Amino acid sequence: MAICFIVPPHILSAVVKNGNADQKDWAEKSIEISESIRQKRQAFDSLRSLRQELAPAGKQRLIYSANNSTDLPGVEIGTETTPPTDTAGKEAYTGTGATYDLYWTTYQRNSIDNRGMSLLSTVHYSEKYDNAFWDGEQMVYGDGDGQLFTQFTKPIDVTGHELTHGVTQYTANLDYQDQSGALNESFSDVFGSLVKQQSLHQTAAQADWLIGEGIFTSSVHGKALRSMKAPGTAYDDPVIGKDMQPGDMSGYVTTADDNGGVHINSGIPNHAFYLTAVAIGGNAWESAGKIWYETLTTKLKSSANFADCAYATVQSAGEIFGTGSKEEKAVEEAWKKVGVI
Amino acid sequence: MLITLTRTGGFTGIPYAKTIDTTKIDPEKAKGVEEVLVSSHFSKVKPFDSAQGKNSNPDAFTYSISVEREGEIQERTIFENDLDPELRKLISYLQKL
Ligand SMILES: [Zn+2]
Repeated sequence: MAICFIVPPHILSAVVKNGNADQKDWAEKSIEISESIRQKRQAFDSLRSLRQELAPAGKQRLIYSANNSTDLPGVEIGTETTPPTDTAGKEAYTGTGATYDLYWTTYQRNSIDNRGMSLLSTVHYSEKYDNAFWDGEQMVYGDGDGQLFTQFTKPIDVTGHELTHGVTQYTANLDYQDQSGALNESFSDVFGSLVKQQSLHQTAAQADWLIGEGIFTSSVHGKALRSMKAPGTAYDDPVIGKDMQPGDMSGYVTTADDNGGVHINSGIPNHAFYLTAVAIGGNAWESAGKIWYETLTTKLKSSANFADCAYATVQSAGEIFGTGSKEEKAVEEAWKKVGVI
Repeated sequence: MLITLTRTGGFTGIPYAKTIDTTKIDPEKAKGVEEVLVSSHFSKVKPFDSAQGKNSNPDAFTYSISVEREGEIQERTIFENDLDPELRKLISYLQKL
């Protein structure tokens, strides 16, 4: 129920005691649900932190399966030393490893919290579930419905995207709404794409800059979910519709849906990143990626808007590559091209 | 009864919507809709209050269900992480119709 985790338990208890019949009914139900989830979560969390204390530092992947239920985290099907054998499990294991490696080797970040937190993924979540998400503590992947979408563990950038939501949570903690929400989404797409580019050894010029390539079945007219190179061109299909992403501020979409169109307007900062990376050239994770990482982890407030992010990335570029450097100019030019500054 | 399910958000960002007219489907299934509506306590879900906030779980879905009967419309918005098993049953029943 919409408020079962928002109302503190002591207030719920008071409602059970003093409320009218309807209120009591609702409060009892809320307590029951939140208590059972909380207890399960607590038991699991203590097990996880115990494991972390015992495990050697570094990459620690844990793969679970919900066996098509919605219980999290589900049952263990693989660990760092005994990788899963199931296809979705193997994909999550590989994608999580590649994401850990990008953050560690390029940005010297030790996992999501920079303290070696174990990376927990649950695969086979729910039935025919067309989604993947970060729940604040772990990654969750659906199998897809099979008609339009395949399993969400398949594209490596989806995993990079979800894990980056965790990194954002531990750093800038961008509000998941309107422009700060679109930035939150964009940072996930940026590092998701960089995970893919690094694992394929592609330069900015060679990369496809697509997000979720391979997620559609062959019955969908589309290459991927989003294109950082050409926002708005990733798919155009009679069943699922057309890619709505704008590539600059003239196409900014004002909507109440999707927390203010966070998955739509992210096209604008996505394109700014693409323009920067291509202008600098070489491996994007070593140039534009470093600038964006520095910005995400040290420069942004939760409420940051596009312009805040633009000025902060220019500042980061100056600090890393020097004031007046070609990198700094590339960043500034990119944000100008997309109409943010 | 007209019942509309919409889903927004999610990693794909692709919205989903479906409207079911229970007078135009198999009566057994229409009865099923009534049953899941009752068992989910749909009418007791608190109406969405925008001040109450946003869907703060990145990439999680937001569902809206509207039920229209005899000219009266009841609409509820529920975040995915706030779904209880009965509400999940209601949503999956409507999706499967
Ligand atoms: Zn996301």
